[in-house]
Amino acid sequence: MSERNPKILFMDDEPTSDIVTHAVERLRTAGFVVDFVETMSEAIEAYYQKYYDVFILDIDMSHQAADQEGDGVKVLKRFISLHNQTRVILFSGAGTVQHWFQAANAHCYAYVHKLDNDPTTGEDSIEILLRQVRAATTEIGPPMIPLGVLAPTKVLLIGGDSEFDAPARTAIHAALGEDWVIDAIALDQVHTTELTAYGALVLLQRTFSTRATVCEALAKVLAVAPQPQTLIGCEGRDQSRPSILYIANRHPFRLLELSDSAWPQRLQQALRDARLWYGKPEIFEADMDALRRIHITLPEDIAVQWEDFDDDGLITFDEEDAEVSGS
Amino acid sequence: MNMNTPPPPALHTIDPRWQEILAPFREGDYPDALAAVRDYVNTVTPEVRNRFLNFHYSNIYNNYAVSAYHVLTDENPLQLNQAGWDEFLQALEQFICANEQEKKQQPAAAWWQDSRFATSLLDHVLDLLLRYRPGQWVMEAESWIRRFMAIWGERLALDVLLKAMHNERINVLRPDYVANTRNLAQIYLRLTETLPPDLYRHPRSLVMDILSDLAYFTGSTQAEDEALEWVEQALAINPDDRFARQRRKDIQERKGVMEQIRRFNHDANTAIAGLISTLTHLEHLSLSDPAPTLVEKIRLGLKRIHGVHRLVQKQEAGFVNVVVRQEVERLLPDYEEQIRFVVSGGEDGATLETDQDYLQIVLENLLRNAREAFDRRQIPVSERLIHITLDLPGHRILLRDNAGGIDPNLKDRIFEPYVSSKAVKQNTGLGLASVREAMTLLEGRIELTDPQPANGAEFALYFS
Repeated sequence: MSERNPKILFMDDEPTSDIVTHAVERLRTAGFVVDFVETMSEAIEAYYQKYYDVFILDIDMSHQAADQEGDGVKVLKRFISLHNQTRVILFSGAGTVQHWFQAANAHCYAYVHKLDNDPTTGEDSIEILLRQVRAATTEIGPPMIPLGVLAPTKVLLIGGDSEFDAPARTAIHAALGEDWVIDAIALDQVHTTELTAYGALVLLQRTFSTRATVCEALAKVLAVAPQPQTLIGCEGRDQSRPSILYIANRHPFRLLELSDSAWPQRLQQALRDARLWYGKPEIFEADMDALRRIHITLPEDIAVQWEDFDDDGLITFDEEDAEVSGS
Repeated sequence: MNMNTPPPPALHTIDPRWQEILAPFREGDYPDALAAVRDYVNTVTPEVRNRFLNFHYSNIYNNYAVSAYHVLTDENPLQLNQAGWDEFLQALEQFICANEQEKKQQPAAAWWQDSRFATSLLDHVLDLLLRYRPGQWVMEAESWIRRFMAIWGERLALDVLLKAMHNERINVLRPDYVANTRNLAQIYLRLTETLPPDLYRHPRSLVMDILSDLAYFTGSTQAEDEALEWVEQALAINPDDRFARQRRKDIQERKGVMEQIRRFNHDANTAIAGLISTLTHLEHLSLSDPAPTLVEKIRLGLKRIHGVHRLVQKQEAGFVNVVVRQEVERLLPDYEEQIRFVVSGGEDGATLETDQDYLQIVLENLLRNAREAFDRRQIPVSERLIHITLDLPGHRILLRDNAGGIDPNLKDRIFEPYVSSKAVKQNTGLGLASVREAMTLLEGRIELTDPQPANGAEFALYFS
């Protein structure tokens, strides 16, 4: 950071709005080099043309029809699939519940709502944005460790809502194997629990209050990732934006929507993805069209390597290594 | 039906034993009927067997399959008995073979075209599959329906299928009944896709309407879009489908309203956020008096609008430690010319974990209500008094006025929306309802203390 000024690409479809002009101004004053674009297409073009430390994207729902690249979350997914350490911050006054969940699951670095403020520190949304950009340009991401390779074969199920308990247990065993041990605690017991003794943490609760005790417990759970990997589930309600974004900004491996009746299947899939060193969709679903457009062709042998991952997300090795390949 | 083909001789005329076999079957004694027909099939002599025609095999194996079905479902309605299932399938297979053969050899014969046996057997197969093969019956069911269609034509099989779908739709005690109904509907749509559109337009659009209905009530995030897609498809093949038209209209209208609200929220959010950032910008400039005071005033006004906006959207509380006394004292100047206040408790910066905006809305609404009561009852300014007790260790705030008290008739209903003791013109009657809403979001509650003071009202706010 000291040798050069970090470069930011800022995309917003309302370049003249007060909040955007002020945000850009504050970023520049703080020493960041900011390039500004108004459409998703330009943001994608810029991604290929120049290195940026951080991308700030608006959700931009107004131009979806005109902009074939879609909304900010779709572009986030594309960027992450091309390089899984790309730092993308969504900065938007729009966005729906689906966007918040999708953004968390596509590993946005942060999601800052334009109207949010931090009631504890009194920061307004621009100050929060600035803090997140600073963090994104200085923090080195944690190493991604595969769940179940180094970790103990134990899952901690947190929440204590009986409705979620049985389906979650079935999903965990189906994804990881019957031999995985499941311990269950309530959220307020997190403080007295040794979380690193587990291979994965699964926290399922209808809603989360923004009370300090709840936030501290959530922060403690999310801070231990990626070892153990953390999967959180809550109901996607518009009213819960603050707590949902609180979770999204602390980088869960997956954020599951519990109002979706298929959540147990999604949990199962998420646990399978977590067994990879980063997560299957993230490393395998690279955007081939986008790569082709800029004349990048992946070498054949890479494609073959990708095929080596079986449905359980385990790498099948050559015969001599077969004993480590798992079932 | 071709009436010129003479009917084959009845089975009992070939083998009188058949009468005995039929007796328990006719009485509905299926365990005995099954044992009897099983024994009969195993012991019938080659001489008799040589005289059997397809017609007789069809009769025997219909009897066999129906008995096996009833024994299976009566003995254990929920769990499959594998041996019984195999026996049923074998009997059914023999029944189908006899009819297939006859259709090839004597296409004009009347008996195999009488589809009553086939109808009930297909009905039984579907019932057994739905009962005993949860989650994995679809392919099997479709292939049985296709076999029945190949012999008896599409009408019979599709009618049975539709009936099964309707039955399953109201079979609310079966955990998978919604998924099962959807799958049966999907099979129906697949099988009728290439059939003459004129004949199947109406039932196909009806099935699509049912799929729309089922999708709509799942309540998932895509439910509405999925429901809309089905009615669109129904209208594409049957523009006269009134249900589909109405459902499409309803969904589109709702979507339109939701989109409007979303846009309004977005615009309001952007506008408020823009104003806040402009104010922050202003604060960084060196302003001369009274500009800083005015900026602060605008900031508080904006905060209030933002708070109301959040309350209307029922947004969850943002809990922080609030210095309650400071919040109260910030409000009082607007009222102090007309009312005297006595505030006790909450000294030394004592805090309460709550949402600043919502707490402001609660206190402000209660104060405004009290002022209106004083005015309404024309109580002289010199006598007006409000006690505010901040019992923060007890997570409680009390507000007591001497404005004459609440009309006893309204006492039980004052927190309901649109209930007001004031003239309609003056207020919407949403004040106390908003207070209650805000207290709920604060995970607390508001109550009238009991008993109420002699000449006024007292509210207790409980915080968790």
